[in-house]
Amino acid sequence: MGLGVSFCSAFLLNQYAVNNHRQDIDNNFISQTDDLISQTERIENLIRTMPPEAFLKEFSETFQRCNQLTKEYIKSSERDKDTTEYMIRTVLSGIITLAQLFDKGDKSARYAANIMLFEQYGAHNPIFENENNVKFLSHGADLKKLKGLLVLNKKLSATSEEKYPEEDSDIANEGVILPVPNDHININHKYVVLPGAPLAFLTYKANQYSDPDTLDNWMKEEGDFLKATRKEVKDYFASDCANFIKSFVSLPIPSKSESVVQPTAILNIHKNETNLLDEQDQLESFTLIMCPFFDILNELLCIR
Amino acid sequence: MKEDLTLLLERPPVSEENNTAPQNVEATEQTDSGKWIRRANAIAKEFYAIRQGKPLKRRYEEVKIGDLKILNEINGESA
Repeated sequence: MGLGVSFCSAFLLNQYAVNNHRQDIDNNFISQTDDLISQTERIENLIRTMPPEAFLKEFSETFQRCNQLTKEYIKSSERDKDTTEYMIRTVLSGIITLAQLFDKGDKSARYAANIMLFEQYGAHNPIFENENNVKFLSHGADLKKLKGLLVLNKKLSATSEEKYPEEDSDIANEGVILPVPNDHININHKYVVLPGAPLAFLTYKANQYSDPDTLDNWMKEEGDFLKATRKEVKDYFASDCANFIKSFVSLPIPSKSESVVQPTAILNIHKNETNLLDEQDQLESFTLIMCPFFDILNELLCIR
Repeated sequence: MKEDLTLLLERPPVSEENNTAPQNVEATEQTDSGKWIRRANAIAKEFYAIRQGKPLKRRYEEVKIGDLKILNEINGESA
């Protein structure tokens, strides 16, 4: 009997030890697997966010060219508004080139870039006199209650199709004016600012739309817009005025002054195909990489 | 000078409405802005070549003598 009990105890102890050992091995295995998954994710993320092959070399050269041109031009004694705008379009041409490379876009795709400048509300500012010039303004909305307007001047635009820094011929001569409300969200935490440049301006963050449907869905799901405004936006992107814009990004150009809490301007880049810079983290990486170009644009916009 | 004129004449026509550059070659040559526009054009042309997927060496081979002169001038002045 005593021998039997001893045998059972020894057996159970042995089983306990074996189980513990197995548990340790399992825990170790799980821990190693977690580490491996974590490292794989890091590598995946690194590859995904890494610029495409040859991008850095072209970035270096493009930046060098734009920087040299701008610095020497700013130092020159004879400057005029037309030439400064020509310089800005040259820099935009460089930015389009890099966007195309970063996006791994096809040579045949049409890329374009433009700059929207902010006009703060002012009683004597003539741009606030006619609400009909402002796009997607809710019916009956009061321009006086806006924070301001974002104005696209055709002269600050360029496309990938042009060999020389010519204006984007697809933009209407009168340009585009968009409303900027005082806040970007309402009490229900829904967006009341239009997607794209106005949203980038108020949130100071880049935003991206892969196709017109994504834009409409965002307005429907995240925003608090009148059906009429949504329809107006949808119709606009289907019209001859903008049906060449299938996807776009809006990037805030940061102010050089620390005391200014809003961007100097908004840089819009669009493409006549869907999915511009829409891979995970692609927009964030591109925005960070483009910072030196924002400095160049800032300098040129300051002397314009 | 002849090469420069060729380069300037190569620019696409600019309408009066959207005039962003001096109107004629003579005026362009006489103003400082003409020099900047020539430089900008040479650079933009290079960007265009990048967009067309041309490698650096081939890009330089294809750049005309007039453009090379401007690029050298740009590189030389910044050195």
